[in-house]
Amino acid sequence: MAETGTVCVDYKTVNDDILRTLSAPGAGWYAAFACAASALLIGIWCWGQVLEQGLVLAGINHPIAWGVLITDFVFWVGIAHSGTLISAILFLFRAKWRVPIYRIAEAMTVFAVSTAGLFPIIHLGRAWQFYWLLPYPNQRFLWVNFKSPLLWDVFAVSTYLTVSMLFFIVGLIPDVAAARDRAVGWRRFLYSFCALGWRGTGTQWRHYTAAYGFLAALATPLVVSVHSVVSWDFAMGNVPGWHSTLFPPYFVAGAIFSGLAMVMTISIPLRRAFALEKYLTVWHYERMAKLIIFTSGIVTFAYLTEFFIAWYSNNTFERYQFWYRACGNMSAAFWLMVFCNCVAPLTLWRKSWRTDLRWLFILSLIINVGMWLERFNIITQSLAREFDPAAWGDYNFSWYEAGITLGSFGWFFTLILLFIKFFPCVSLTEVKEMMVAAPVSAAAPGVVRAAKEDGQ
Amino acid sequence: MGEKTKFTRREFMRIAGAGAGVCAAGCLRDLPQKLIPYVVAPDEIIPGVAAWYAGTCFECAAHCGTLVRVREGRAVKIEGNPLHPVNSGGLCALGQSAVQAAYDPDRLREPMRRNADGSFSAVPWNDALYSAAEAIARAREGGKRVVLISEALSLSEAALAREFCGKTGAEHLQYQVFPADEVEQAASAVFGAGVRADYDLSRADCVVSFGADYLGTWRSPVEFTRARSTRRAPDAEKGGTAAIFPRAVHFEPRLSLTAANADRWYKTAAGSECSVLGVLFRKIVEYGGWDPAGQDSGRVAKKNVRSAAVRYGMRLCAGDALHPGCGVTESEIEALARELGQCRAPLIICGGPVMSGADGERAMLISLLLNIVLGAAGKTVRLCRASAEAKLPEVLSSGLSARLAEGPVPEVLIVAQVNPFFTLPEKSGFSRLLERVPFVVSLSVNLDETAERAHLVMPLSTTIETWRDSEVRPGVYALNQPAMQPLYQTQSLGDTLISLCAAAPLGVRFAEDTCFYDYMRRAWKERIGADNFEEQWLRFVELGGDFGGTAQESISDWSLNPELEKVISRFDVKNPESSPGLSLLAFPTPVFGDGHGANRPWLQELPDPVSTVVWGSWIEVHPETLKRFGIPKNSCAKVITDGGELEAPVLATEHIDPGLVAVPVGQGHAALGRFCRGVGVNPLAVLGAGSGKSAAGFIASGVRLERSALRQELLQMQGSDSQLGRGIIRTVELAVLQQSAAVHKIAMHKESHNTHDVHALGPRTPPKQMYVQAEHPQYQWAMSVDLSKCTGCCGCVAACYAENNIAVSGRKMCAEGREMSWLRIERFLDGPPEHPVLGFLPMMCQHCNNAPCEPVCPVYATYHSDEGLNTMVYNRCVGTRYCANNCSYKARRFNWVESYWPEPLNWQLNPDVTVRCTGVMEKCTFCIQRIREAENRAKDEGREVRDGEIQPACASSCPAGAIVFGNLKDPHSAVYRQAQLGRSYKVLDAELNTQPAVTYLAKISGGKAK
Repeated sequence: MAETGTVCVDYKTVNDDILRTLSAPGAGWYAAFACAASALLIGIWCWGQVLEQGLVLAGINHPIAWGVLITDFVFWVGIAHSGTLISAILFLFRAKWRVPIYRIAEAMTVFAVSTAGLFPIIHLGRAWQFYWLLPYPNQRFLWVNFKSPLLWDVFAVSTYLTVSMLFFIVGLIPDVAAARDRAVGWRRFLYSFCALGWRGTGTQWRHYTAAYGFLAALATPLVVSVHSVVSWDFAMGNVPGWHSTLFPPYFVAGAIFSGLAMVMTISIPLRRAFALEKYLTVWHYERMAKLIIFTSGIVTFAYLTEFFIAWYSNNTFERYQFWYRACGNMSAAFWLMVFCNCVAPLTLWRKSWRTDLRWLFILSLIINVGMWLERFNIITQSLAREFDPAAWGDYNFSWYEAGITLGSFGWFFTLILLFIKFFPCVSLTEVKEMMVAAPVSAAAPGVVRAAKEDGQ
Repeated sequence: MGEKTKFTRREFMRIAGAGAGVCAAGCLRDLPQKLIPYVVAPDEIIPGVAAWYAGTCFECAAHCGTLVRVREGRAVKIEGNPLHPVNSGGLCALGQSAVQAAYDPDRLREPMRRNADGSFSAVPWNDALYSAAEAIARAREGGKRVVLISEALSLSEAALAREFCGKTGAEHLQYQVFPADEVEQAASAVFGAGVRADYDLSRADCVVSFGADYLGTWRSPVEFTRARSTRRAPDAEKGGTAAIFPRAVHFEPRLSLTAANADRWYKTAAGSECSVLGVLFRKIVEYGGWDPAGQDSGRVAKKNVRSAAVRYGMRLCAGDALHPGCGVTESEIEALARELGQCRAPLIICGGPVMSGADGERAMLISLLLNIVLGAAGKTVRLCRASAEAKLPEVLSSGLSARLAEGPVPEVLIVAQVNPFFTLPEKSGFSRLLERVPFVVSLSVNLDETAERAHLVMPLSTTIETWRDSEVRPGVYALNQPAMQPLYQTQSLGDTLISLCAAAPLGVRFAEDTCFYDYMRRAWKERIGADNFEEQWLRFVELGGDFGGTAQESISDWSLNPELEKVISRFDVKNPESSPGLSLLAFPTPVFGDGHGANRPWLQELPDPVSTVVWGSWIEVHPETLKRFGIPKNSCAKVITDGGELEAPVLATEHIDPGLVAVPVGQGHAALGRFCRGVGVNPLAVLGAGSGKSAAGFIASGVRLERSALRQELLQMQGSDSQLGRGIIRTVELAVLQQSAAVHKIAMHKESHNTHDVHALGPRTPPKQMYVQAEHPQYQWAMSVDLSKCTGCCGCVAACYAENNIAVSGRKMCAEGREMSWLRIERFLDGPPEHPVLGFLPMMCQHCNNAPCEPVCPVYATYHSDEGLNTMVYNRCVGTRYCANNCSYKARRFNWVESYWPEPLNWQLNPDVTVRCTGVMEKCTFCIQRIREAENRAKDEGREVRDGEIQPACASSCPAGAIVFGNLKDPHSAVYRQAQLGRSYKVLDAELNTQPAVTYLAKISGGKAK
């Protein structure tokens, strides 16, 4: 059967196919896990050095007080976005193509937020005092400053982490129950615990559906709010190149853009490794590719707007800043970003390119690089050329920052790799629902319910 | 469950109690519990209260007055003495750094003898003195030569040295790297021996200077800076008018600090200054503006003298002509001549290492004669009788080696407080001579290059540990008292010489004096007279010297030296041939002077005012010259002279004569200490041999440039040279100031909050605010900085480092942009290359009323106090650095590493200021410790703080007096008055509405007497 076609299967095959991913890992998984874990260890060692010796080991300086670590923070928060977009917003809009990918996207969200949340702590001068950013009652009557966008970040990110985690766990319940019914040993114990006594009764299904819909509605505004709040870290500052009302929509679009790319980066190899081509078809990827074209367009438009406003405002400082981005000593990073985020996605206008999964995989990597660079450019280049020309400076490269960034990828992929071996990475429930909802080859290809029914 | 296993309530309490006890015991910190009280409390030492001791600065020949702040027996800071006639309270960076000389971790701590393998081993003082005395005695018996080389000594030390030489048969040579007596030499040639000339800038309407970097390094920079600034701000004075504004014109081949601050700087070709001066002389005489008609009786009082001066001068400069490319045109000289002729109080200054070439002496003579012609002699050139005591051997510069080589090789050479091995050219032969001397004794504070080659090293105390005195100029006697006990087994130079004589092999005594203190006191007693000496002595010690009232013993009955004819005939007047080759100039910088203080970390970290280079040397060279020798910009070059070669990073600048490369003096030490060893290069080493006494020259000709394989970055602290029209530094045309009769009321500012007019001046009315504005019930501390006075000398920066325990970051950290200075001098350089427009602006935390840094801190580590201060709570800071990003002035500094002061440098730390730990932000506090101190005092006395009572470190040390601090709520305070001036402005305020507490007063430009 062609990849784009529809396959007729029964519920048991679905269970077999998907729960097979939980079987004992092979050499490939171990190799991948070893890579991820080593990267994580490198990151931990680097951070240990930074804690020991101070932020002198990072590339930041005066006047560029934020650099790669904050870039990583924004990057990972951005990655976290499309998970909730796919699972919650597209759920409410009943977009059919989300079904096979939403679980992995959601996992990505939770792990990416967990990764992002580390960076505000790592970047602190005194990381061991990070809890001072939390408003907890204390006998010294010290309180936090609710005017600071950094504090908003604390709330935005922790809320997002909580809600996306809840959403994730609730969505897992029926699937975990299915896994429980086949598992033995400690896995059975784990799944029994996670299934929360799920028996698949009608009442449970009714409650489950209601809770899922409710959480989806709760998570939806967070998609917009979290990255808007993160963008305020910059937009609320007065730094030329940061201080812009454009930032919230610009950042949200960018986040979805990069998040979609990351979903592709993870799911394309996954699909191959676990032979899930039946469920994750090219048709799904093409939908994602279209969304990528759309968000790439928004991001490109935002870049152009920034330049236009800098010119139109007639503000010396803004004008110089954007001239510097395009023509300054760090312009290579800028033009690489333009290539990655604006030019390369244009290839997707051609159907033959956007249905070629190999190209989509490569492109997703390019976009990830581009979006990382976007944040890097905004942060470091703006700080490098601020108001007072006497205090201009240039960024230093640091191996320790590179190591910590590598470590964050290690941390993220370690979690992803563990996840796909412990929990079903494609939603059994929703795949089956789709099979019922679309009995014959409808708009959405994929699996449909076979005539034979075995009741599971 | 059985009764036995039941966990009773009592049991639970017991275990819980024990557990809590164990936990609590584990949390005990080992706090230092011992407080040792004074058994007998010493006078003047109250723990927690600083004592200030008046002293004198001996870092250069100017001898400014100092006040040394002592806390619990340790000197922590040096400031200028406001009562001292030389510096009136200001002090330069070099002078302030003297406290780090005392706490230098590489200081000599005990006498040492050199072993055969070149290493040193400690010896007791008695042994050291004995062996030195023995060597001297033996040499004397054998009729061999004993030589004492010292720095230029003053008053009692000089007398002692003379007596020492008399008693031991030693020959005394005084040595100074940059000759400080060129004016004295010329004055005695022109006015006759015994007449001393001093320049009074405070009275001059037009100063024309040739080569002399009088604001940076020449003679008495602090005094000149203070004098210059007295009239740079006519509107800020009470009832001031801008009718007469002094104008400064400077001729020099490179952009020195004086050139940078001159109203007009002419980049003369190297070696052509004298002919330019000569042409100017002729033009003035031609123009007749010097008033031969006798309209001004005051100016023609000495008509005969003046015509004689014209005659001599014309002879001296007969052959001078402006050759093309000398940097100044005929018409410009003509205009200047006219201006000088009409000027009521002109002043011509000449000197400095630039003038050390072949024509230097002639130029000095012409400049003094021109002063006579212009009627400046006796007015702006103060003439007085040199003191009779000045019967010392002349001060040698690079001629030292030649003088040493005149006789037989000395048997014993005593080198005291100078480092000729480092400061004399390789070619001069000093190092070879040093090797041949059988016994070299070094009296030195550090193991410098010369001491390293001595057989015996005796450690000297630093100035703040010793008694010293000086006759700064006739009638002004400065005194220096020890502010603290010597840290180690060291002695003053005087004590060392006395005890050396007293040592057994020599066995001679200085009357009844056993120490230098007695010797000096006796000399003062003889001078003052015996009646109520004790009382007067105490007063002088307290005051820092005997300043003889304010009146100077100036003389009016001066005339020309009858011998002048003979002097002039020495000069065979010839038109100086324009040398086609390249020359090398070794110039002193305001920060390092002659380089003896290179091991003080503050000085290394302090940016050179004009180039803003730190931690290293540079080769200043014109881009054309670079191109000619095929050397890329931003690289390193090799300078090759007859005397050797040196390699350093290139500083390509349009502001140097293409026929000249210039390298700063002071760096390139191979010894002295850990902070300077291997940093930069020493241009003095590669100069020519030098022959005469002072005209030996700091210029080497026939220089070649080559590419260098050296990979070294030039560390310039300034981000962008140009301010890109952003109005950071603003200027106001003098004409605009003059147009308004009431200069206080020029209003040039549009009262709109979004004015981007970078020339806007005057107090700004803030726009309507959306948020509640900060209230300041009693005080609102504010500062104003007069850019018309500020010369960018960096004295304030050094003061800030000293007062606020600011960590020195080191070369690597500076290269990474991690210097910690709370206060920096921004130097902007705009305009065409031939006439650059320079501006200096001290930038510190602006303590904004609407501070951008405050709202972004998530933990309230920085907040606005009700006294208008932007306060930083180090303990609360977690180090997000968001405040630093949001600070539009980039005044905040982050502690990237744990700061570290090697013992005993940490003894200098100000106990009133926290040493910040790693990971927290810091910045200028307006010296909050001084504010608190004054407020507490005022509260104790039941009054408000008086205006001027609080002086932040930068303000109290500023040689120009450009920084004013006070309460903005008080309409009578100086800071309030300055903030209301027509030329006041606040940096970036109109753009950002930050409402800084720091007001800048625009630089006045276009100065030309109306």
